[in-house]
Amino acid sequence: MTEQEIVASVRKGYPDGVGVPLFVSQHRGHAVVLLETGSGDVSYPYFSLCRLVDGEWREVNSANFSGWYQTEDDAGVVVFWDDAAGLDEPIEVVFKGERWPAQTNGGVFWAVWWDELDPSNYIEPQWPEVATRAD
Amino acid sequence: MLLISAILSGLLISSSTAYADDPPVFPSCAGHDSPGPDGIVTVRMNPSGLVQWGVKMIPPEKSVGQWALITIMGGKKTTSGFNRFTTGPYIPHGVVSETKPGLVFAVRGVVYSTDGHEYFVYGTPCRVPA
Repeated sequence: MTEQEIVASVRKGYPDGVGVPLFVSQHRGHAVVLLETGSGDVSYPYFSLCRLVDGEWREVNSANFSGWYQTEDDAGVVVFWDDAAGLDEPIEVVFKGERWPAQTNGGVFWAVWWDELDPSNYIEPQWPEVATRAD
Repeated sequence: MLLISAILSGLLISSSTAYADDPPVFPSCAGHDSPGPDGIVTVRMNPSGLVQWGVKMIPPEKSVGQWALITIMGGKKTTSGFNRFTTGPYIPHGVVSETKPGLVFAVRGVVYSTDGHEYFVYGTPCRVPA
């Protein structure tokens, strides 16, 4: 399945020219997409989770924030994105004690981890953070 | 952050409590506004059967700060919002597409506002209509 098909499934409902894909990632029948839905100088990224059903990508969950999104009973995908302004590149993030590189595009950074428990379910919540030199 | 998690976990447990006798009657998600002391949770069903939700704090200045949100569908957490820090007025919103008639939907959250207060988002759950 191509990224174009995934993006097309989440761009339904947007006017032509709105909804530029910033990032796409897929994993075993699921995909996550971050669209730039703002216009002009106003950035407004919007996140979507898609599932492959009978050969077609369907958007199953979406929101205007980073977080954990359920893909199976207890497992899900952790997506971490935000404005990259003011951050030194290359941007790295820390998740569960490990450093990871973040992608950047259109002034936004993005990192994804599949097959994860909800980070808020840990006794000490394990939400990702932008890495600092001290990490 | 631990406190936020504990609060939201408690809210999840309370929202999925099983009732032995008279099950609570929830309003329909077709057009559900649930006002609280600090804002309003709005839920709508769109013609395609998607559950659209949003949270508007009143006044909007209360929405500036650190946010944590969860959405619950049929007793299962479907979204766990990262503890986002906002510097301007913010209306968290989203869409949950995988629903079935009869399932109960809820939005829960907390914002630690830069005004020094904690505001809880605890809208009345609603039921997905047939």
